[in-house]
Amino acid sequence: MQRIPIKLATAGMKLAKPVRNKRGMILCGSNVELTEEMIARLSNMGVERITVEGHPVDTGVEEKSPGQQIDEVSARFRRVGKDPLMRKIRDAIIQRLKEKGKLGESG
Amino acid sequence: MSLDEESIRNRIQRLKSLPTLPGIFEKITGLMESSDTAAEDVANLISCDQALSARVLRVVNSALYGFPGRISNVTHALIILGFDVVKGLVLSTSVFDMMLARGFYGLWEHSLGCATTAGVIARKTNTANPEEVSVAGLLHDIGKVIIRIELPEEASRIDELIGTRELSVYEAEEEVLGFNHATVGKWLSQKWNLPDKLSDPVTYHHSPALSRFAPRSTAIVHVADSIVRAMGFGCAGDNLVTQIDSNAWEMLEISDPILEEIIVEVDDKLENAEDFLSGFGS
Repeated sequence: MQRIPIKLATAGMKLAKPVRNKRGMILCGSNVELTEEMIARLSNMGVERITVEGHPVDTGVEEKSPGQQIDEVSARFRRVGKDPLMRKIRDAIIQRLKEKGKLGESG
Repeated sequence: MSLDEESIRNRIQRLKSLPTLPGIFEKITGLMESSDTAAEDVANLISCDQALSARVLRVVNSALYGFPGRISNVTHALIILGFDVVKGLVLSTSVFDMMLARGFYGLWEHSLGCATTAGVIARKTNTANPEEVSVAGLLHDIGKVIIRIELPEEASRIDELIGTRELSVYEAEEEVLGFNHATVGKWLSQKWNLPDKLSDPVTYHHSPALSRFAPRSTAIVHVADSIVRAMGFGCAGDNLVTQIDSNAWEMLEISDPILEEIIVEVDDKLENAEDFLSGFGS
């Protein structure tokens, strides 16, 4: 999945996460395929960014691959990685990154 | 070189108020100390400052808390959240202004990330008053802000040590100053008469076993600080994950499945963080 500015959204993209307004209210659920009308409406409601499936937009900013992100997590644990509790937390975070990576590929 | 702790302490405690801390904060504190103050009295005072009340409401109604769109005025916020949370929010908006005005974006994000994580942990572990724990998370690194503003030369040396010797910010502060941001947080808490449930997490988030008055909130902020660092959200001053105290962890009884739930929920919330970050940043 990819979080993109709504300005870059196009019809046919599918929401990977619900769209919320600034107060946290859900405006549109996940799995919905966007239309031009919906994009305009969300934009009018002040939504600035949405999360869509796959990786449809090249934002020009180099996005980190799941592998790079996992390496970074491990690096942050370099001083505490031997402790069983800290290892458990590190592994839970890495597991989460892997699951997100899989979701991204399927989208 | 270690600075004279007493002279720094005096210097910080002599500050009449933080550079942009609104006078309203002291008035609110005064009102809250009186036992016959009604929520409406405090609400009226906050409502005098329209910008402040709008921001408090925006944060209260944001995804950071669990009641989106339900709180429409400051009295309602005071009744639902309690005096201490609203007081903490008023203080947080001032502190966050200071962070943003000086470009401490990494620390600002770290503080919001810690607040979010602390709130999630509090809810997942059925802790009373998760909003209070969350506010404690917002304020936990206030000492770092003051060190950077009041002691800029020493702050540069601290940064240098973090870069060259791979020290944590806590260790580098101890080496340069002879004390650390948690100690500064304690002085500020005393100066501002923060309630124990906020001052204990600020003071003891690196040594949760020492908390006498709010051991559970302190344990949660301690764990949240480590987890938000682990997830790489914001920057606390270094890029090291801090060791979690085993007694603090055991107190919270976080099972493996609950840990997974916490990680997923925190990750989701942080990914949408800009939606609620804007509540503080304007």
